[in-house]
Amino acid sequence: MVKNDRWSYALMFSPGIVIYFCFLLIPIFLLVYYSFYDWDGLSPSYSFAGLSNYVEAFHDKAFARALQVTLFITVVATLAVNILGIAFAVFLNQKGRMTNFYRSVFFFPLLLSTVSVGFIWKSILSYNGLFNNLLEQLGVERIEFFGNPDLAVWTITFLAIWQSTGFIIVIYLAGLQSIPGSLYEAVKMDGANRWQQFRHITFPMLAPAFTMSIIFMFTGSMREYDRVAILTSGGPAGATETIAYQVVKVGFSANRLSYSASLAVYMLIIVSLLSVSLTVYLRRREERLL
Amino acid sequence: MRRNFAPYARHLFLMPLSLLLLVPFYIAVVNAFKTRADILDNPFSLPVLNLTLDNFIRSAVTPSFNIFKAYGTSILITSVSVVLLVVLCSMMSFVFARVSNRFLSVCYLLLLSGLMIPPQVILIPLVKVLAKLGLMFTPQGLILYNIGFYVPFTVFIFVGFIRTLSRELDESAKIDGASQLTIFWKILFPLLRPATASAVIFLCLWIWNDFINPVIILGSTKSYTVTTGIYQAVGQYSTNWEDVFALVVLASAPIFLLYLFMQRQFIAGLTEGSLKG
Repeated sequence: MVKNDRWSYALMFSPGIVIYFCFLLIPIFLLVYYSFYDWDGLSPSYSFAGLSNYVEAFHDKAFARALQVTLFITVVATLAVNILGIAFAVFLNQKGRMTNFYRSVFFFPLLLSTVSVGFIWKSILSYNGLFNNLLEQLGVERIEFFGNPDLAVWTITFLAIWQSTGFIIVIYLAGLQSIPGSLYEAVKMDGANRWQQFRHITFPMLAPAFTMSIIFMFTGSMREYDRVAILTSGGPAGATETIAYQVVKVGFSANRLSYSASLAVYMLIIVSLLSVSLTVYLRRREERLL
Repeated sequence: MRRNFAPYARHLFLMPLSLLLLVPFYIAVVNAFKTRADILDNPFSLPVLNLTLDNFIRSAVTPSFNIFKAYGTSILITSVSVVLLVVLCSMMSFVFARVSNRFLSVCYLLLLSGLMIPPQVILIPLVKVLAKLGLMFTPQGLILYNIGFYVPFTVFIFVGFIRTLSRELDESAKIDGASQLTIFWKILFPLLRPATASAVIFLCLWIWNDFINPVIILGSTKSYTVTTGIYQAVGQYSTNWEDVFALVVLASAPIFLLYLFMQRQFIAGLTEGSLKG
């Protein structure tokens, strides 16, 4: 490498990596450091606490419940969105007059902030919201979409599905359009029916779009925060708290900074392990299928 | 018979879905122009008879919230963060794609692992870092955080794209004695347009719609973005739906208008770029 080039490269490389180190990597190291102490976040002195935060978090029932809620939302939303996404993309993938209209409509919910969309749904579904007013006028009892612990988790899951399905449909549409039509000609000659065509050609050939959609939904749902904050504030009685919500709640309102750091480290480990194994599995699947 | 019916059958599935996706927005928009009594009486009708702008006038500017100030802050934070991300990360990606040594491989691995970090995890220590630098409660602090957080994603998009471009392009320019920096900006960067478009659209949406980071980093008093501003404003009204609808419409209008004029670019940028990356 020419000496001149070295300077050029260093100049181009350093600003970005320095900001990344200062505002992402150093905070991660600090997080791990805090998690081994007993700092409340405010007092000037604190002492080494070993693994005690981690031991406490391990036995923390509220955290276990938050993890359960998070995994429930993640699994249900990821599966539902991908099944709906593939089904609707297949329907939409015929050239027709309305295709562009549908595509624009499906995309729209994802563009707006979860906060705006959350407030709209809150005004519709909450106890004195528009939908419940309508039920009362019809003589039906009001439904506690956010007040009943089990139903509240389902409602949040439904809204996560509602907001992402359109985007995933469009991802699968892009995937479908990259499948060469000649593949279908061959199996049609062998007399394959529609379901067989889907099973043996469409679904395997969608592997890259499948990987992307699963990872997108998985990572997004594991860090579910906004909807919980807007719709239920974690309630009733902590029933809708996700791990992301709990990390922020404990860290910023309960003045237990070190303890919340250990929760955050757990969250980081769980999310990373699951995302890495899921990605590796899906990439291998792609190689096998394509 | 069946063949004639088939093209319409799909509408039986797609129309209800479209309605399900659009109805909440319809409800928000029509009710933003109604009085409260009117909303309770007929929440689904168009506001033809009692059309009112009072909800907007009342909630757009209050002693504690000003939507125009919120637009200003959001535009400033989003545009500065996105421009800097594109400039810094496209250059970084050029180095990653063209030079290989151990230091860079380690850096690349560290960057990719950053893709998986949930933002809530680093907020607590980040606040301490920003406070130490005197950047807490400032837009600059939020911008620096945005850059740090989205470097992995942006580099990921650009590196994938640059690797598909031939090296002969930069080598022929090098014979003319140009430095790597000039070669990149004069020759390569214009060719990166599809990747740049994808990155810009994703980053704009994420940063504009971001909620928890501005809530914590900007705090609740001095400055607010559109998202955190309406969150605080609605918090005061809680169940005055007519004000909530007006605020949501005001908050969503910029993105809706942009989408109306640039649908094709939006959809292409969000699907094609990401699938290739």
